[in-house]
Amino acid sequence: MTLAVDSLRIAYAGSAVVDGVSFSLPPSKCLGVVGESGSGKSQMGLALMGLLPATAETDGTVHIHGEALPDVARRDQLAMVFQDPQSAFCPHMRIADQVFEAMGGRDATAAAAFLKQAGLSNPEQVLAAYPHALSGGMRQRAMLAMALARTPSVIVADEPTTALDAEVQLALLKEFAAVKASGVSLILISHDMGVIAGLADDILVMQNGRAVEQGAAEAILRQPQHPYTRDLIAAATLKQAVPAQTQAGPVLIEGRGLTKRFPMPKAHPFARTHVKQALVDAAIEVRAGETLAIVGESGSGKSTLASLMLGLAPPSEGEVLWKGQHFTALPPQHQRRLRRHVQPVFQDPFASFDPQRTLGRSIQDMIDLHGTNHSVEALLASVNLSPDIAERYPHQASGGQNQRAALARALAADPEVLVCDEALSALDKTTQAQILALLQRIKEERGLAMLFISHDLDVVAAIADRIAVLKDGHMVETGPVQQIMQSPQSPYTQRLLAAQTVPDAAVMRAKITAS
Amino acid sequence: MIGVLASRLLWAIPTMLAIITLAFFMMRIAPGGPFDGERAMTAEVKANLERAYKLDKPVYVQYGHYLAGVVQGDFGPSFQYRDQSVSGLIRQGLGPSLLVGGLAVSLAFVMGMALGITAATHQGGVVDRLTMALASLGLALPSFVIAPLLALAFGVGLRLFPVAGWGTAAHLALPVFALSIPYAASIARLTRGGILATTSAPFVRTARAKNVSPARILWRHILPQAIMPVVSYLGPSAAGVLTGSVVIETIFQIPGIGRYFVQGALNRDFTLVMGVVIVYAAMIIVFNLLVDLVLQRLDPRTRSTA
Amino acid sequence: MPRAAFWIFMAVVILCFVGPFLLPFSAGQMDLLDTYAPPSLASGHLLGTDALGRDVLARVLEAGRVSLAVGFAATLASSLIGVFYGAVAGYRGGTTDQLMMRFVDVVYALPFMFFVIVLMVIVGRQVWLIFVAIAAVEWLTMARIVRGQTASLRQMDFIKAAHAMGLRDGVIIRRHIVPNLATPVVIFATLSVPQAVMIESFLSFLGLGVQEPLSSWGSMIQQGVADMEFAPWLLIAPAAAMVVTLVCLTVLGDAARDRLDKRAT
Repeated sequence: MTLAVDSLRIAYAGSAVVDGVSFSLPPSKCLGVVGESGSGKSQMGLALMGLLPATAETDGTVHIHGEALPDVARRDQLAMVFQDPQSAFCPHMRIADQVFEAMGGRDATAAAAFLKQAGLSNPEQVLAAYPHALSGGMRQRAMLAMALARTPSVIVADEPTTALDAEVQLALLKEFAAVKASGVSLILISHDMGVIAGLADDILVMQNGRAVEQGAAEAILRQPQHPYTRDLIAAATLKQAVPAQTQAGPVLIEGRGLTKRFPMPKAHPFARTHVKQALVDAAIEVRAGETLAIVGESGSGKSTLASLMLGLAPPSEGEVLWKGQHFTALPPQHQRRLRRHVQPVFQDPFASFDPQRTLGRSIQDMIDLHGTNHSVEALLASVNLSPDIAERYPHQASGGQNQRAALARALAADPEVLVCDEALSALDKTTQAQILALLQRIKEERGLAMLFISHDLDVVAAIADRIAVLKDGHMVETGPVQQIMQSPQSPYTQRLLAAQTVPDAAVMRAKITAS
Repeated sequence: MIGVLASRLLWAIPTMLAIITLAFFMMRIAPGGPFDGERAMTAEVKANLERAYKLDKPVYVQYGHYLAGVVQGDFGPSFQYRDQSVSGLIRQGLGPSLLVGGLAVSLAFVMGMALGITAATHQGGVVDRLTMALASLGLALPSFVIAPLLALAFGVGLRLFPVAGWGTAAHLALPVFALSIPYAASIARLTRGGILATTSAPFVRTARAKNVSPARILWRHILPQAIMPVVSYLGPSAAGVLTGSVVIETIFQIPGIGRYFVQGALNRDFTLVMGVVIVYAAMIIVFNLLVDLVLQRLDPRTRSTA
Repeated sequence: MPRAAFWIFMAVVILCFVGPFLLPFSAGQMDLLDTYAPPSLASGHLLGTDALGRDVLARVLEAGRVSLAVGFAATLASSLIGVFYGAVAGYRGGTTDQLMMRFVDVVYALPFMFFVIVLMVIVGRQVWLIFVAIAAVEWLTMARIVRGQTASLRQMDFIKAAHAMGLRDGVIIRRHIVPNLATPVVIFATLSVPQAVMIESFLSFLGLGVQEPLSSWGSMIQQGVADMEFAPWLLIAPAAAMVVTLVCLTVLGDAARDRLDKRAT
């Protein structure tokens, strides 16, 4: 047995964040640790690495290769891969120096070998580079190489793929599979059952610091016992698309030939001006009662499109039309009056509200501005929030509560179109499910049209009537949701669908091998 | 890198031009010509003097002359020291001023960083609180307050260092120290703050996960990041040291250009005063340029594209 | 420690403004038979007397009024200018912002104090000129801070939401930007007051500050330096008063920053 953990407990000032977790990990096997924020899964990983702050009180035993884990400084047999490779690398040192630090020597050939093992085909170039010059996927592979350079028996990976696009994520999981096959044991920590499914031999489900279910991966995925496990699996499963019930109404807002260019800031006046093409000739229509989803990965231009459709920025070329009128051509007062009809819900629930105003006050601002006769309490109730939330400041409420309040604020204007810009991305999977259900209910009750922007196909499939796929600023494909999900035409869409994670072990293993 | 250098230099030119123009017009509006306080003299002598200083030509011609002169390093004759040129005086005084100022900034940097690193590595302990209390004290001690106090304590009281004059290394001790204190204090605070902020950065956690020694983490990982606000502050530090040197040179009777500035101001020798101001401005601009270059080199994003 | 600093500072302020009424000697009262007397309890001159036999303690307290008043008033003026300038630059963005901040950069690089000194030599010593001098140096950093904060606020989602709501720019600035500026402005203003007091003292030390019969700590220090070898208390008293006040203000500013910053994040 490589690693044996018995009754691990981590507490701060008496209150436990990890309480009584035990597991054992043989060589060449992977333990998937699943849970949402606050479950203690990251704390456990840090504890194994000896990276907990001095204020942590730990209890329980950890044995590696049969011996008790030595104190902090000498845990040579464990290495860690962190979530965000951009910030996890030292920005002013070359990759080579950082790998050398892990190796304990300056053998460039050996370093290159580790990078190759992690899936980098041009190790010398990567070694000579600084972290910011690499792409996200390459950086994460470099981080894996750095972990391998310690020739560990166990690698702890904490959300290693969360910051990556779907295809890159799949490719990285493949590297992890190869590492596992070479004899290293893996602890893969994630909030997403789908990510774990392809690699884990055993699964440990954590909630509020406790292990609520653990055992063989296949068994748990097929027949989860604990309700929380079931919730997590449900949250990771691709929702079945509901066929559109009503006939879509007239076009409310549309974009024609939308192009947006951003001049990049210059280092000095003599440098060439780089122009970033965020959107190129994009066209969309949002009809009454219909939900149009815009799907794309980071850098695809979907947020730019949202800004343009909300009238927050003018397009470099093309038009944005609201009920047939050119929005940007209208005089400012007219624009302001029309704005009530198209309201946003943004991604970061805590940044959506002025931190100096209570949630109730912010909602009241909307009511006052447009003279609608709603009451704050009624609006809060319609989004399942109790009236006392109105007295709270944004930082005093949870992400889910803030997002509901943002929805309430948007509804206070009686809009016809709701623009959700990655509105669920910053939330826990279970909270996502709740807000999604809420959005669907509101949409049906009020006959709202929605422009739903997301990188997450799972979420989109559940709520959209039509889907448009964006890649690098171009609209690659548009169509009804079933058509896109089941028989996509464009190769990019096909690849995107193929890269989606599902909580099914066999399916994921196949996807990983195929990537 | 070259592009940045070029653009900064390009900005320096209109800045210097503005300063020279401002200097020129300030001299002109000063009430009481250069001969105030002198004995009355015959109209002929006065006319000759005016012609020698080109005071009989129209304004823009005088300006042109002045500008041309400055570009060549000639600031005109001193009105007070009648047989000396301003540039000559400046050349005499530049050495001591640069020495004292340069040493003061260097001392501030070294002392400040040492104190800041000590405080940060003993965070929360007695050493930390003591050091930061010292730094708070240092901030409140401008040069002209500490200089006489130091002179009193060490010069008169303990008789360790000379209180005035120039010539030996010992003469440098008190003035350099007095000038450096407020800036050392700021740098100590900035260093400590920078280190503490960087210590909680994710990449430091990665280094700890790799079992990198704490010393190496501090010097190789943390400090290059934490030092950036300190380097940025060196620019204003230099400017402050120059301003303070005016007073310090007067108190300790150091033959530098600061003293000329003060005497020139009191004696209404405006060519001297403006000459000094222009030289100071040039020095600050050059120093800021160097600081900018160092910052470019430190920031990994710009360094690698050099 | 901040609490101690607060009470000490309050004590200083009260002493400066109320104290002179409680002392047996007034600041202007000359006693030519008792010049340069060292501090002693017996004579009632707790901090000694100066060249004209005036009580040093009384003079220090009265000078304190001037130094503090000038410090606070000048900081207020420079803060207002800096906030307005920085908010406009940060909110407008684009070329306006770049030009405005370039101007700040250029002025920042100048040895401004020298021009101020020369100006004062030329124009003569006027009280309003001291305000102008201090404000002219201080507003730059405030402008920078406010501009940075405004620019980052402008990117935040709640400002976008306010636009999408249909609020006009003026309302957005007033209602959403300005209150969120309060924290850094207050912090920096508190830390600016010591700067302002120091600049005034510097000018007074050079003989360019307040004129007799007014005196400030700076002018007292200047007089003290001249006589320091045989009457050190003339230097130590005003220097100590100034240092104590400045340290307290700095500690208070730091404490304000620590407290307010945590809440804002």
